[in-house]
Amino acid sequence: MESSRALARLWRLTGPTGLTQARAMLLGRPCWSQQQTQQQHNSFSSSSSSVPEESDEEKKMPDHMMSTIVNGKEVWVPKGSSVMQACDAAGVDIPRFCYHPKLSVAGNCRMCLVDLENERGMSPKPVASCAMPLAPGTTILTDTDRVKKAREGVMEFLLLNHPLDCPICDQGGECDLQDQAMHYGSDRGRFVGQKRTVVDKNLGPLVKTVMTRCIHCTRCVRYAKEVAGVEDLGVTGRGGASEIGTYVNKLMESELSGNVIDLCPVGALTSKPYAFTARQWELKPTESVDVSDALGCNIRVDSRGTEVLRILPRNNEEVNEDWISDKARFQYDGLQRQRLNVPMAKGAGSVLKPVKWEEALTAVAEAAEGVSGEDMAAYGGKLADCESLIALKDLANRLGCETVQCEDVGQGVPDADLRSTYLFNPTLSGVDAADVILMVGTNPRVEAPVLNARIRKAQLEGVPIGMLGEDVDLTYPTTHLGGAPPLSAKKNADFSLALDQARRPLVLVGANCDPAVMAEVEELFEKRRETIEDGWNPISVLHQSASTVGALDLGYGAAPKAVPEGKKLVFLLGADEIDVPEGAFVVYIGHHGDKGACRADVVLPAAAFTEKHATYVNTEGRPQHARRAIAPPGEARDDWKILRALSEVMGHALPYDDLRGVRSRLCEVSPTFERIDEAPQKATYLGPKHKKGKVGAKTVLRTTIENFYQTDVISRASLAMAKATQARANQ
Amino acid sequence: MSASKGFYRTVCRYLPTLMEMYKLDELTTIRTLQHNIKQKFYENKTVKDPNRINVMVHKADEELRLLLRMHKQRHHVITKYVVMHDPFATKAPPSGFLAQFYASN
Repeated sequence: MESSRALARLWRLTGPTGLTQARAMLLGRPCWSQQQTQQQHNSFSSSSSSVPEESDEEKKMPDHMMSTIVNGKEVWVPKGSSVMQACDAAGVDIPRFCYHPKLSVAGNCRMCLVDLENERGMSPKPVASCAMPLAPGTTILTDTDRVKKAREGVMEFLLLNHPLDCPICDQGGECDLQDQAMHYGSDRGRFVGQKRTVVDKNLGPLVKTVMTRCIHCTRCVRYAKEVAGVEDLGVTGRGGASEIGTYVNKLMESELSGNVIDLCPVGALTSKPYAFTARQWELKPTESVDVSDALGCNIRVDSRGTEVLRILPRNNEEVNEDWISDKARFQYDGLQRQRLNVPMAKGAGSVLKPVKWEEALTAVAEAAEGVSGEDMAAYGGKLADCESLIALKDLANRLGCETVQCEDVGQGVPDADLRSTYLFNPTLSGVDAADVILMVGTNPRVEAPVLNARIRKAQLEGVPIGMLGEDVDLTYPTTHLGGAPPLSAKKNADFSLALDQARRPLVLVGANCDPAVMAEVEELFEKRRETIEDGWNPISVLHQSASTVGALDLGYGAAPKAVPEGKKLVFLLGADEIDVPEGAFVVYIGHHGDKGACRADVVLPAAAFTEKHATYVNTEGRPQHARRAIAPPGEARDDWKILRALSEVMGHALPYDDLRGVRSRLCEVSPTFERIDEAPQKATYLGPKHKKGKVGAKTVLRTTIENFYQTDVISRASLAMAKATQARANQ
Repeated sequence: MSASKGFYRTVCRYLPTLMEMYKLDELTTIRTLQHNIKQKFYENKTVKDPNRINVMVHKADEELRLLLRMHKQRHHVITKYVVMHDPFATKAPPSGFLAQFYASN
């Protein structure tokens, strides 16, 4: 704004012809270089006006677009774009520290300075491109001497107080400041005297702070306020004394706090568990998906040798944008602890002893001898991938067993015949399009923090959010409508009205709501069916674990809390939360020694999600591949291979020998698996599917997750998650 | 006298030397060693083609020379002629998928 006003003032004073002169004065350059740059510039503009436009003239520019010229290259950008967005569209790299596409524009680092020019001449001084709206008829120049000089000036001031501790800084090698210093930094300092130092802040056991390194870009402050919804971070003090921090000594109470580590352009905020472990160039990145909740957030697994050293988010606008939860980011140290790495079987004295694979498989085959299929049961666990689920189901069916169920499938799923009854139908990105959101018996803050950030974004845009169930703090205001449906129109007139008028309502149902609640929810929309947009299905079931939707797609049912009496042979595929009665022979196939392995008679060690090529289906029905980053430990094998080998030893060999074979079997069972990474087509709302029942008047629906940080075997084995739990409890 | 019979006698003549060189008397006796070696010969009793026999005798002769020059080590002799099987060799693996599964992931 400032610069545009200055530009206008200059035009008023000198007129268009005087501007070249004024520019020369401002730059204070010798005459010859002035002419040279002018010539260069002229050649740019002439080439840009003649070459690309001739061909583009025939294509009509859409109304919402405008054209501009960046360094002589014409680009089309949407109206209302900033100068920086135009540069990005042209593929011109603009250095930046404070600007982030997902956050509001602050414009305080001044690193993204560029020159603008319109028909009246050059801007009087370089402008911050992130904060400058693109005006029609403006040409952008990013490689003039003046811009370079201005950026060098900014850099000099930033480095003035920045410590020279790159060799011991965790950000080294992936630091924006380091990279920019290579381009714009001076090889010697002109300032003498002491550098500024700042006391480090305690942000809890996950985020490490070295506040002396901070360059005050305020990305973390804006993130905490706008995305995470916890106003814990802020700037105190003024000028040289300003500091970023929590105002009082306090943790950052957010499930998404780890994302500030990625946002920080320097090494002021880094990961505590990752501190001093590796340099970025030593790591092998693997693109994968997260299994800590049902969203299937896209992640990058960084590994070195046989260890996963860190997990970072991968951008996917349709699923997790740029964020992942703290559990997804920091639970990886659980992959090193409590691992099952050798097959075990109960010998004499009923103590588990390490055995060879042959012996373990034979022990299972012997136990299965003479047991009829009706006395067998197979249960899938929270982290089971689709390949192993289908192998388990095929094996069980070949043995004549029809009790094939998955734990953590909510009671609200009556049967898996109709896919739209158990999916998040509007899709995750559909939350952005919803005009009313109603939550029933769910707490997305602990069940899916990344989704909660998306709902918060909708709330900030004015979408009314109602809540039926326990009244919890979701980091944004909600209207509490009662403990359980039905929704009383009398008591909540405002919200009912909003729901009546909604074209795209979205009802977020917790997976553990019972069928009666689901029926009430459907009743709610039965009345309002005419107002709902065609092709929009408001029912969005939010599941809690990564395996649930995949299991339902493959024909698994909901497992009870305990295995029914009379079962003689029980297969647990990573199922730890199901009680098995005495007398059953239990085969546990999984990667962590938890409750399930403790009860087992034979333990077959399997691979965790970072150690196998696997498919997971997220809550909106989007199948995604997790890829192998490291090898499984010791004697452990891929889950589906174990089941395939077991089937052969038991005399019912499964008909697939490689990953391709299993995946084509998956496609046979459900066509979903043919469209990897794609969400299903939005299913039109077909009306009620649940039987009506009675919801108790005093029922208060609530989520089943008690502690966000520890929900599955990996996070329960993780030290970082234990520390985070403790820190939250002590707060 | 056939080539193989002659060679068998040569081997037998060298057995006491070999016993001493490789300190085999703490493990076995001349009689058992001779018996073991006879077994080795009998393993190929179906071979009648003189050319093949000559090649085999030539190879065995080379082995004998290596043994006498101490180019072999004690454990080679033990596994091949005294214990008669490799303790480190695993059972013949089952075919296909299972073999691969038992071997590695």
